[in-house]
Amino acid sequence: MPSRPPVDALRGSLDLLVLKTLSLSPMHGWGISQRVQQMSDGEFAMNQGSLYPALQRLEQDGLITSDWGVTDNNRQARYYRITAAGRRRLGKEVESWNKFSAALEAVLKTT
Amino acid sequence: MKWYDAVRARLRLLFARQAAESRMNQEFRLHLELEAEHLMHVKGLPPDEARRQAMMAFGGVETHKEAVRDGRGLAWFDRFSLDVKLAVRLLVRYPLLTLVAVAGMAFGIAAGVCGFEIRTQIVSPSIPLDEGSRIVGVRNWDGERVHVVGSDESDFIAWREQLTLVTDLSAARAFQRNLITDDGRSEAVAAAAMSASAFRVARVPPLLGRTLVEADEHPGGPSVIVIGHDIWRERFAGDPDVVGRTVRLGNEQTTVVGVMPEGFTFPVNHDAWVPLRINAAAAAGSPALLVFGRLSRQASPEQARAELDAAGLRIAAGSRGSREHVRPELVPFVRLFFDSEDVRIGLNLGNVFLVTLMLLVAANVALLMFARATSRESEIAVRSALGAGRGRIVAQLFIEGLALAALAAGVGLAVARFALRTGQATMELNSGQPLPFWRSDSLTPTTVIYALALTILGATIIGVFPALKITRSGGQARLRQSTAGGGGFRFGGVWTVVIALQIATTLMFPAAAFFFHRWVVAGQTRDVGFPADAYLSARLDFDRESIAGAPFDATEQAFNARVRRLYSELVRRVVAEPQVAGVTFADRLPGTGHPDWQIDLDDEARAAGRDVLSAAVAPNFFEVLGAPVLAGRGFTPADLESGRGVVIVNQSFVTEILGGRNPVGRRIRLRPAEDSPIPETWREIVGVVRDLGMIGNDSRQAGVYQPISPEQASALRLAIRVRGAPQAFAARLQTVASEVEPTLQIHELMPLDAVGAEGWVESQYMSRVLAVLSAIALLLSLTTIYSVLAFTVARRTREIGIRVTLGADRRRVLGTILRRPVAQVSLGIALGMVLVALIFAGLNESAPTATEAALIVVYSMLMMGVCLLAGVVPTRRALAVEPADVLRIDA
Repeated sequence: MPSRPPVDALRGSLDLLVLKTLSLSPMHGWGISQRVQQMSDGEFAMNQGSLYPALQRLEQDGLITSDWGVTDNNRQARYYRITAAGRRRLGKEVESWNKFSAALEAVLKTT
Repeated sequence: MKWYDAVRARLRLLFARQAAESRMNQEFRLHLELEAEHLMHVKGLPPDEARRQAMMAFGGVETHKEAVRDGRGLAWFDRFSLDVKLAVRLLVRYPLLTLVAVAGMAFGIAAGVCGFEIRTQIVSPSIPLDEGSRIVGVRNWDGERVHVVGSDESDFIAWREQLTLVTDLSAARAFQRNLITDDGRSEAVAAAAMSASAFRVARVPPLLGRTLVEADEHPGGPSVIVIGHDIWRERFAGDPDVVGRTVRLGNEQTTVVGVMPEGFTFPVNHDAWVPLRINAAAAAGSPALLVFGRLSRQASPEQARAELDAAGLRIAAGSRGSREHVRPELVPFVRLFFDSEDVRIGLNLGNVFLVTLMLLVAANVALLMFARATSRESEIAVRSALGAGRGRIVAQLFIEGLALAALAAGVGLAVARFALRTGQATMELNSGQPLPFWRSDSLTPTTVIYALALTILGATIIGVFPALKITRSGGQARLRQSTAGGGGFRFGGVWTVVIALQIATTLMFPAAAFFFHRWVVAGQTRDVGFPADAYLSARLDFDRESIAGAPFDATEQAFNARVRRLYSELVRRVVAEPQVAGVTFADRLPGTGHPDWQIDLDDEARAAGRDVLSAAVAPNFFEVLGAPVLAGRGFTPADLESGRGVVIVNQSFVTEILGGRNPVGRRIRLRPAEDSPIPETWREIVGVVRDLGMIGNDSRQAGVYQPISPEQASALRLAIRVRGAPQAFAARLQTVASEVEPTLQIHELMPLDAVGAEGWVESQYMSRVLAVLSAIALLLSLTTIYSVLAFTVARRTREIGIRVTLGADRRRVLGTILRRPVAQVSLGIALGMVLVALIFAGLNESAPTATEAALIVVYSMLMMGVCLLAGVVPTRRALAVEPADVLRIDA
């Protein structure tokens, strides 16, 4: 069983993962949760429901927007879409994440 | 703009609460369905199992819902709605307190709102015309003598030529003439000779026909008139074919060319308009004009002002000496009629006073709320122990205050609107003419916002201050204290002062209302010395010149002769009417205000410069009024011509000025004011009559009558003795007058006893307002006193119980407990009596009668009684408590 990152880190990175997912294409809630799990290779096993407060938060911050749409098998679903502000944030977060992980790696290597 | 998006999203979420809930439910449902289908498909699970596992993967649905709701800001909303619910429940649970507090606050808010609205309507009224705020006036201002100088036609011509930033510069001159229709009806109307462009300034199209046009202004052109809606309806029965009909306006035949719509009374309260024809050759020194126009679209008031200043300098360069310092100035339209600058400070102070009054009322209500809140002290202590922060508790009490204040604001606004409406009606009745068209009996949006501000201010006082005081010390200590009993809050020294002041004010308020009422009643029912209700009165006015300003009579003598002729012809005709018993006139009629004149007595230096009331009357005045001459003789027609001045004095003159000595044969000198030159002629007192309702500034009634002929009187007021109801002769008088001379104007046609009463309408209104205010003040005060005192005593229940248990004498305990309230109340009553005495002195009234004195004593005793009751009831309850129960109290 792979080791799990601590909960706080997971929560912070959840936003990042959602933005990353939506940067590829608009998607409904369940789709996002599936994508996140696929992308993280099952590493981020979390309560799927936790996704929704995160989506709401991102929407309130103007990073994503949402609209009603229809799924492949013709069901009403709320589709989320990344905004320009969301893309900028994603870029910044990825950059700082990279910097941070590089720094962390460097530290870990010297030890 | 990230913050903007965020705020918008939050607001949308907050207000679309229902939609957000259903969206969340739908999303969650779809998620679970998709997950279950996915599990069935991928893992081949049966539907039930797939659904179970989907639920597990999702996590606690309710928890996530809560998280989403919290994120939406609904937690705050829920708390708020809970507070509101709680507040409303409290309002219902304490109905008396709610009633009193709402009545008090509503009164405070209504008073504040009325004050503000009146200030707005006087200082910066909005003109209810299209872009009314761009209508401006131009007037002359003498910078040296600091007052307004009338603008004549030459000013108007010069300004019109030089001003480009004020368009359609127009002028108007108001006048009154009889409007005489084909059916012989002749009634005075308030008309204006006005530039045709003024209709463009007003931007109101005619209802029928046309407005005035520039062509109408040519001297010598056909005479035309535009009539107002009221005249059209009343004098022409709303005839749709009125345009083209001819009528007479005073002496001139004129053709109706248009009818203006209802409510149009531009420039002030006018009902008919004729073209203003300017004679450029004789423009300088013409009668004064109102000059106004519209700021052009491109211009700001400052630019127009600068242009006018420059024009003013050019005009002044060629002006005469007396107008050296006179400059035109641009003012808001309404300042042409009423310079609000003069009263602005007074109005502002008045508003400060009213807000202070509202704050005082709020402070009173805060006391009530405080007493109630402290009785919930344990509840509050428990709540804070359970984790509610101070802010949270303060917020809750604020919401309670807000609920109360909001209720009061609703009532207050309705009351304010009613008061404004009735107040304006009263003013119109009192002045006998309509108020200007820009007066409004509804509240402006600014005033409503002001009311909201007052409401929040009030809510803060009645909610937050008690809350802050109650949550000041730590909750822990409070909890301990309240469970241990006793202690807690006590109304100490500050409260003694507050309660004493409260009682004093309460005592004073109804007393003031009572005195005012008595004064009004005394004024209204003052004995005028003859049966005034048997007389019809009217004011006569004679046209001196044509509408264009050309005098009808070549000389003043010719005018006087015409007045004399018309008056005697009118009297001859009126007296011939069967129901008329006599006709006379005076410049001022009994029951109305009379001016003060100064007199010197022939042989007494000490009477020099004393004020007496004065009236000029027809020789037959006393005879027609049925007022017997008590000493000496009455006036005769010969007194008018003899050139030897004679006067008649009234009884008060004899007692006040002469100390009861015989006046007949003595001589006096009369002058209108202290600084007017002392006249050469001495006038002989030839007779004495009883007091005939001369009203001055105070209660003194010494008066002097001079004989006068109709053409010399400054105003010609008729008094007609009628057999039967005077009002029944009113229409006939109009007819007779128009038969004598159609242009003869009859104003203020009413029974003589109503002439005086008119002046009292406003006072009567004020008296009623004061009575209502007193009742509210009384109610609020008594409730506050009762609740505060009852509360003080109730807080000591435990102490009383313990004392009694330990064997203290019940009566002594009662005495100890009541000592303080009794002292507070006595102090307040004593202070109140001083205030009442001051009011008495201030009104310069006679000493109170035995009944009034008794009333005041009964009144103070009533106050004392209520206050004592407030103490006795809870104390008795405390004395009756079983010792064992005492220890449980407050636990």
